[in-house]
Order: sequence, then C-alpha cells, then structure tokens
Amino acid sequence: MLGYYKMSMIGTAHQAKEGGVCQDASDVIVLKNGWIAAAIADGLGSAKQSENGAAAAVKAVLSFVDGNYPKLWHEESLISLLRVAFHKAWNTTAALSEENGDEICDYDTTLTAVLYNGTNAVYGHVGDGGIIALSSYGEYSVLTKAQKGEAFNETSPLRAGPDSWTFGAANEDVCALVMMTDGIFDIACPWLLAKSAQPVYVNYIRPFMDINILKVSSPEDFEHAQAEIMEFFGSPDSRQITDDKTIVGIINTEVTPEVRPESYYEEPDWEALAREHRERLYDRGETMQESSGLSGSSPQQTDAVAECGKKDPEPLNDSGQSNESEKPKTSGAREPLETGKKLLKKLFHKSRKEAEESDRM
Amino acid sequence: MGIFQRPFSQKKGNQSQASADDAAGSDAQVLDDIGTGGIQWVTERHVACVFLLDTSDSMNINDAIGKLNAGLRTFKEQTIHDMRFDEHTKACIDVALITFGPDVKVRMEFTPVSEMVPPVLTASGKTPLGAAIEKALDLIADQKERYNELGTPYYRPWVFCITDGAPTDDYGAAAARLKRMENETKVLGYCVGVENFDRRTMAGIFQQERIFELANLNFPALFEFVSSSLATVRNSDPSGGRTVALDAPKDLHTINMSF
Repeated sequence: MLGYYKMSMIGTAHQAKEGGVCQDASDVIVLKNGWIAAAIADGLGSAKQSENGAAAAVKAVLSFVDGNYPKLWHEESLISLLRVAFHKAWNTTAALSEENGDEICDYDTTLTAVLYNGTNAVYGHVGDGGIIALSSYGEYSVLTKAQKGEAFNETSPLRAGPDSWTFGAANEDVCALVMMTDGIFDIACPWLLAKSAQPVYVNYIRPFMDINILKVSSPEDFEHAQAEIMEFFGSPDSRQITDDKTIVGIINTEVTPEVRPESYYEEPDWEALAREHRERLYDRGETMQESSGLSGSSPQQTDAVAECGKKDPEPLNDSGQSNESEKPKTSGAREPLETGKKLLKKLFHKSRKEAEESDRM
Repeated sequence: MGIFQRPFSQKKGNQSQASADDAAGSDAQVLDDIGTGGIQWVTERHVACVFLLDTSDSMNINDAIGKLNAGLRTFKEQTIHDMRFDEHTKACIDVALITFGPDVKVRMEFTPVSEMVPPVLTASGKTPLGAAIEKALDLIADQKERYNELGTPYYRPWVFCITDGAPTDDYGAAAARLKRMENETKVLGYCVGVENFDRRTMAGIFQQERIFELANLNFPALFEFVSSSLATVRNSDPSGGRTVALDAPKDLHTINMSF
C-alpha cells in the first residue's frame, strides 16, 4: 500500500508571540487511481496573513491536481500539471489578498508539492524546505534545492513567480519520500554536511522513511506513527527547532529498501566537523583552497536581517524579511567534492577505530 | 527510547550510550544527550559585528577613551557570562574592531566574542571615519565570503560606529557605499554619538533611525545592550518578523533630526 503521515506544528518561536499561529500548512490526498499527491507550505514570518496564504496555496495545488491528473504516468505531463497547479496557487493567494484588501505580499508562502505512484515521483518547489527521497536501493537523496534568500531565514516565496519555481522528477525508483518545511529540513540536510558526499543526515531521517525501522504496513500503523512523530517534535528532543515544523512522509510498504553498509548510517562526527569549520573560519594563515573537508561549491547565502534600533528608546528589534528575494548565487567550486568525501571517510574510519578499541577494552 | 531519538543516544561511530531496553536510567541519559547531538551544531547561526571606534584626540575629553575601554571589556564579559545564552550563541557572535584616529587600524579581525581580547585604546589625531567605514565594509565582505565558502548560515552583519564628533576626511564615497549596501540588505549600519557629536553629518552617513546619542559616556551600558541585542538576534525567530523585546539603557536615546 501507499501510506502516509502528515504533521504541521507551531514552533516555540511563534508560540511565544502574542497571537502566534502556525504558519505552515500541509495536506495529502489519495487520487482515485491510487497515486498520492501532497503539498506543504511555509508562510513567511513577516507576512501578516502568511498562514492563510500557506493554507490557500496547499489547497489550490491539491485541488487542481485532483481534478486534472492524467490517466497514465508521464513525467513531462505531470510536471506540466504541477506547473499549472502552482499558477493556480499563486492566483488564489492574489485573489485572497484582493478580496481582503491586503497586499499580496501579506500572503507570502513557500510551496512544495509532489506526486507519487509508489515508484516514481515528480515535484514542484519554491522556497526553502524540501523533499528527501529513499530509493529502493537504500540511498537517500535530496530532490529539491532549498532556495535561501538574503538572510539564511529568508527565501523565495511563491509570489517570486515562475522563474523561481523548480520542477523535476526523481531519477531513481523511490520507495519513500519525506517533505519538510525548513525547520526540520535544515536538520535533515544540515549545512555542516552540505559539502560532503552525503548531505542528508541519514541517521536522523531514516526512522521517518525506512520501513526496516519504521514498522508500518497498515493505515492504523501510519496513524500510530503520525502520533509518535507529533510527540517527538513536540518533545524536548526537538527543542532546538524553534520554527514551525511540518513533515509529510509517503511510503510504499510493498517495497523494503535495501540496507546499506553500516557506515552509511553512522552518526557524523559533529564535533570534528564543527571544529574543522571553526578552524577554517578563523584561520587567516591559509587560503581556503588549502583546507580540506568543508569545501566545494555551495549556494551563496545573502544576508539575514537582524535590525536593531527604533525611534524611541525601544528595544533593539530584528525585522523579518525583504519582500523581494534574490536567487542564491552559487559560488565557484573551490575544491573537488572528493575532498569532502575524504573527510567523511576519515571521520567514520576514526569513529570505527575508536569503537573497535572500545570493544577490546 | 523511541526510534526517532536514536541519533541522540549515539556518539560518532554509533556507539550507543543507552540500550533501548534499559530501564528508567537510560531516559535521563538520553535527555542529557539532547542538544549534544547533531542538532545543536547544525542550528548554529553566526552574526558578524564590526565596531568602529573613534580614537581621535577629542576622545581624551572627560576620559571618554577610558570609558570606551571599559565598555569594550564590559561587552566581552557580558556576552560570555550571560547565562541567558548558551555556549553556541557565544561562539557564533563574530566581532571585529577598527579604530579611527589618528589613522585607521584593524585592532582585531573577526574573532568569536569568547576569544576577544579587548585592546587598550588611546586617543590622538583626527577622525578618518570615511576610511574606517570603507575598511569595515571590506572586512565584512571578506567575512561573508568566508561564511559562504564554508556554507555557514549568518545574519546580516552589523557596522556599529561610536564617535564623539565628525569625520575629518572625505567620507562621501564611504557613505555612498554604506548606503548602497544597506539598500541591498547586505549590512546594517548603526551610529552612536557621544553628546554634542555632529548629528547632521552623521545623518548623511547612517540611516536616521539607526543613529543614537549616548549620554554620560555610559559605554558599559551601551555595550551591555549591544551584547544582549546580538545574542538575541542570534536566537531570534527563525522565520523572521519577530520583534525582540530588550530594554535600552536610559542613557541611550534617539535624536531629533529635524533641522
């Protein structure tokens, strides 16, 4: 069967605000032919109606897909379908803003949508957050590119238009996929791993996708998993994620992914990665090219907003986001990706060696 | 222990610290590990701040320079000892110091505030603020390049200028560059003037709403405030748009720029 769970939860940062609401939205529909269509959206913090924008965008996309999907799975047709669905979502938020006498930017939201038939997946995406896929070969990959804007916490909204929207299809057979807004996605695809051979924090995301771990085979199992996931993200375990949290998981329970070698699932040596990062960040004795590990091209972030000062002796503030977002620039490649791979191998080799020594003791 | 908590009980190499079948003691151990796993590292966000410090001759009046030195020490002490902020917050505030007067000197390249060594400043000479602003913007550009190279998430950098007078060099190009970068949301520029500083000139360099006057040479209070602001920004609403409530010191106030 194709099963799913979905969750959107207000983050502690918003809970602390008076009148704070969850600005994320998510939904999943099962089409009559058994395919699954899902959409998530993250309303921008500075947009005063963004939770309504997010909800409207999700609803518009899924409604259009539900009423217009083709009989046969054909990637190009489905991508075209999603493209039109994104236009519908855009128009819906524009109409909503007009109806309520608001600015369209008040409804700014990201949007990510996927269509899945149990083997193949096509997606549409704008903003940060994204989709991770698990192939039947047991490999994790990121389908979408997170679009970071001027600030690390700024991004391209749906309103940025078709030039900012991206569409595509998974290259491999997919047995499970997970859609996340940036609160969780930035953990599942952390910046410390961005330049490594495996940018996905596999050990973290695996329990949400791999039926070798997450034992689901019936609708009841998925309901139970959903409840556990909600409990997890509402617990102290996830206290570091203060943003709203959305996660949608879609799993083909008929396909058990292969189990990779143990090293594939090893916990990264975060302290070593962070230490390497700090050494490179503050060391002015060597050029960037000479360092190993944290290197390679990456999307160039532009600046986050942290504004202080008001007209009266009021508190220093941080303001939210610019309405206009730029596409992230990609910096030139400084070192081959191989260097990141070598570092990861070195770290895992070291950790395995330590484990063996520990066993001997 | 739930399956989603697995990474939190694992050190590098997946050495489990607690078995899933352990009794109640393992829950405490897992809870102790929360935040020492990957998540605390990957939620790291940096904020870079360049302090532009006036060390021209007029800062000898009323020992303003001595009070500025005290303020710098307060800044570091406040930041590293403030229990409201965890070690990661302190590690992610990157500070650089540039003095102007008689010439422009980079006293400290970007350094984590915990490793900051406040210099002992003396005052003499004129006020080359224009050149200092250019230098600050160069430092910021370099730092952002480093951040981007390493994929380090960062907030918009600050330029925080403290002065008691007016520039004595040609500051036009620097002011234009600062304004352009602010318009492009690449930097935030703040100016704090000691009493009787040249407001009109400063209003031609900095955004009016980010110009303040400091009474009584209360630099320690100012730097306490800046410290808190930087750390709070670092911990602010990740989706943006949140107003952070902090109490400004009574000696820091905005000025009426109507001429």
